[in-house]
Amino acid sequence: MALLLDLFAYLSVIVHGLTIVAQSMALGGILFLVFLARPFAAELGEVGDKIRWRTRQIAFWSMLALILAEATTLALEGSILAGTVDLDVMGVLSAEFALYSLVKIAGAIMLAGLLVGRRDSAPAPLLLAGLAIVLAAATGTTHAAARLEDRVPLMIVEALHQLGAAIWIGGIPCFVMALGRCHDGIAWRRVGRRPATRHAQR
Amino acid sequence: MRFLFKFMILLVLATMPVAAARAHAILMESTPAANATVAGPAIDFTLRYNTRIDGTRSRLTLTLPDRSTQVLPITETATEDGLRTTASLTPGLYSLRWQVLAADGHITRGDVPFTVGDN
Repeated sequence: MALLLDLFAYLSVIVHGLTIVAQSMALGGILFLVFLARPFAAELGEVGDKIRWRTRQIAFWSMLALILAEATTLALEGSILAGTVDLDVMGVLSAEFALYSLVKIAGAIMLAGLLVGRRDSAPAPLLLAGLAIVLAAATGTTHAAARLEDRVPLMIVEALHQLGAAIWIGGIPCFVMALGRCHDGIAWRRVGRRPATRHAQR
Repeated sequence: MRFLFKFMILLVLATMPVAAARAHAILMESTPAANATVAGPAIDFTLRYNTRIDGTRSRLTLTLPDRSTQVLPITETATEDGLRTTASLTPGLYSLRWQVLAADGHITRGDVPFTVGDN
């Protein structure tokens, strides 16, 4: 039994790593869509529409991966708890980490629903609100949330850290995809300059 | 495909500090202390951790001198970082196995071996 529990615990760490990767790509994709792909679309014409479409695809599939990985983590850790502390399903799901996981899954499902479909019509404030829900729920299951002292400032820093990972790392597939779909120097410069320009303005 | 593979490796490395932020609950101090000898028969157990823990979803199990085990009811969670219980024990070698659920969802376990001496 102890070996099985250790294996489950090891698996949950691996799956949590996948959750972080999927989360970064999903949130990065949404940020790329809202702040770059949509504003670009009018300037780039047909290519701009293709970039919007592919960005939504990347964000959507990453969101599905996030939902799957988070649900797997919850199932693994819930199984360990149920097997060792004799808790029923409600006893497991009412734990603090489980509640945050459920909120995160709900937020990711909402975002996946907004991203799916032929037309890119989801309002930006709604996408950003969903992103904020996922990010806040993810922060609720970090060590910062379990700290005894300075919990609030550490959680803010942790949320910024995860947001930073989503912007800079999670957005890279969308950025490379956008560069790959541009076929002239002007478009490349527009795609490449936009993030740099925004960064320089800060 | 090669780009995707390299990117996934980069992403795992880049987000590792985020994953590592889900740390273990570490036992900071306990009564009895590890490898201590205490006078019986009534023993008060207190354990204190470095993070907030969920006392209602944690467990304390005592291994008796004959290697049998006994689950101890967690009588009080006095603070958000501690567990308490009591037991009446005869002289011998014991081990207290603790399993705690930290507020971040991480489950950790450990053992505190101790001896109950003759009065």
